[in-house]
Amino acid sequence: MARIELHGINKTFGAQKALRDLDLVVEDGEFFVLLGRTGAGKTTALRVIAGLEKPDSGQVYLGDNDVSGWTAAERDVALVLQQYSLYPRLTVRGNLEFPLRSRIRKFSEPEIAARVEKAARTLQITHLLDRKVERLSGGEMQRVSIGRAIVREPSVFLMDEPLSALDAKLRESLRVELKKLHASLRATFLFVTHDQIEAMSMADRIGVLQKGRLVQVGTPADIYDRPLNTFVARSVGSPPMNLIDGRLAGGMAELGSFRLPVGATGDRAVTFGVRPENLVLEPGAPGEARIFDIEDQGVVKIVVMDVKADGGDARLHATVPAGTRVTRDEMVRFGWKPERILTFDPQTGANLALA
Amino acid sequence: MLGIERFLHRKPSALSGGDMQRVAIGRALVRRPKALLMDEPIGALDAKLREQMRAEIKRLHIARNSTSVYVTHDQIEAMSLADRIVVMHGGLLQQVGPPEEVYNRPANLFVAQFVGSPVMNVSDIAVEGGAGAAVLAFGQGQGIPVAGGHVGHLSQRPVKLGIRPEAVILRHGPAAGLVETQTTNVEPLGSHEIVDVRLGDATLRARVEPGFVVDGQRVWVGLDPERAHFFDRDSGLALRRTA
Repeated sequence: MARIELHGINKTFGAQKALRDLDLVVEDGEFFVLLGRTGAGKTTALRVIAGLEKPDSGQVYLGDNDVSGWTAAERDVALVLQQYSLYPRLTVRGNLEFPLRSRIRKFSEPEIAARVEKAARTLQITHLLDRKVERLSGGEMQRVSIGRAIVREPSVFLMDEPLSALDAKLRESLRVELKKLHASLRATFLFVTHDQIEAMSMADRIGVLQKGRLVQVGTPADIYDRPLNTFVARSVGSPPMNLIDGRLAGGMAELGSFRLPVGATGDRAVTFGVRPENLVLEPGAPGEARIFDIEDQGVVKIVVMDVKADGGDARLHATVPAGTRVTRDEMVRFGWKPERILTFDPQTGANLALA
Repeated sequence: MLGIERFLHRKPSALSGGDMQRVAIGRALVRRPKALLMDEPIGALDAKLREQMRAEIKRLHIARNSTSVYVTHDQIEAMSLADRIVVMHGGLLQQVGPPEEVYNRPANLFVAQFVGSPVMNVSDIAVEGGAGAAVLAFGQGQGIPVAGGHVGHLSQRPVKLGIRPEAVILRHGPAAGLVETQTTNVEPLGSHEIVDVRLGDATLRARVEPGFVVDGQRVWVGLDPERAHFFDRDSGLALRRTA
């Protein structure tokens, strides 16, 4: 078992800075998710830990060891990728045995058989062991890829968007399975993804990465309810958090033609942050908006509405009960849940409650 | 109409992904076509931009009063955009209807599990009992009692139950129609949570308010019979009560 530590990692590819002074600690046995968009540096961070990429500066620790100078093979980490790295001609068993038959690791035949059986049981692929890999479904292949990683019983699992290529139904079930797998192995998991639902649903802690920098680390609840800035605020939740420019005065948000109560105090220009589920459509409420669009998602409706605010027109997304009846271009009244409103600095985007 | 006036003199390579796609839509529109056919036009954009473009595409369609056919694998796009959805599978048309109908009255198992996130719970059940009261048996002696009127047409045939996560009822204490069980997984998604519970041989996923339960907690589970779907186990076709 091992904790992962990165100290001051910098990595540049040509003119592009992939990682900037990245400090990161993943605790022993933790399920840690690095969340970021394409190009944020997620994969580079993973490859630096795996020893596949040499940083320009900084140290990598696994457990108590500074492994910065170690090769990938010496690091005892397993890497699971979005593209399954399987041998199509071999059976599932052949693929699972492969990592145990390398020349560096000398395992006895009974030991190999035992480890393969155990991994197959954990991933519920025992019935597939003698099948050719090319005859498997995508979800089964990804399970075998994970199996190839677990047979070696590494202390650290690095996973690079392993669910992205799968269909929605399979992604949902593998999310649950990965969490169970983590609980049963008690190993350290570092999982990178651009998918906020994967991050929220699986992580003990999430690290939000932006342009090679770690912006915030926290539990899913921290990231969702107490984001450090507007970037983090809008990186989780769907639709993303609404941001409206206005003025905070006397416990009220002044938004042009109307005012709404807020929990925050102070007197200054503010960007108000409100999640779609905290906007409420109700007759007689202070806010006025014109319905731009209604998206029926079955379980709920997303109402897209235009508001005239101080900082210019704002387009807001509100999540409302599926039974709500509104029509396009209708004028509606809305309020919000005052205790759930966040306030950000309009210039820096910093969460004023945490500054 | 597309909000790209200020880019008219720019090279496409200097545009963002969303603006490029707006230009592409503009190219299609300048010809004033009778019908607009779109093949996953926003599939390559990032999540935030997709959400924004969805509403724009729909408004464009309405403003032009045109006929649009939009192809997508993304059920949320289909639900959000369509007047009517055509669900295709293996070259066969599965169902045609407005989003509300496809979601609430799916014609078969494929459609039922294609729209909605998380996907609709589906499990083999046995309907035990008669006209007055019945039990939906999930195996291992566990079942949920329902009024017989909801399922009277189903007894003595192999069926699958389909129930969306929002129609699975979770409570902290016992009540009529609820069965005691335990949570086996919790996904905190911020605005709501998806909770897994075991019931007989099945795992049911339920949609609940944030912070409602923790993993491994004792809970009581039931289901809203008005929103339960039943499917023939062999054909997958929806079995409805005849009015």
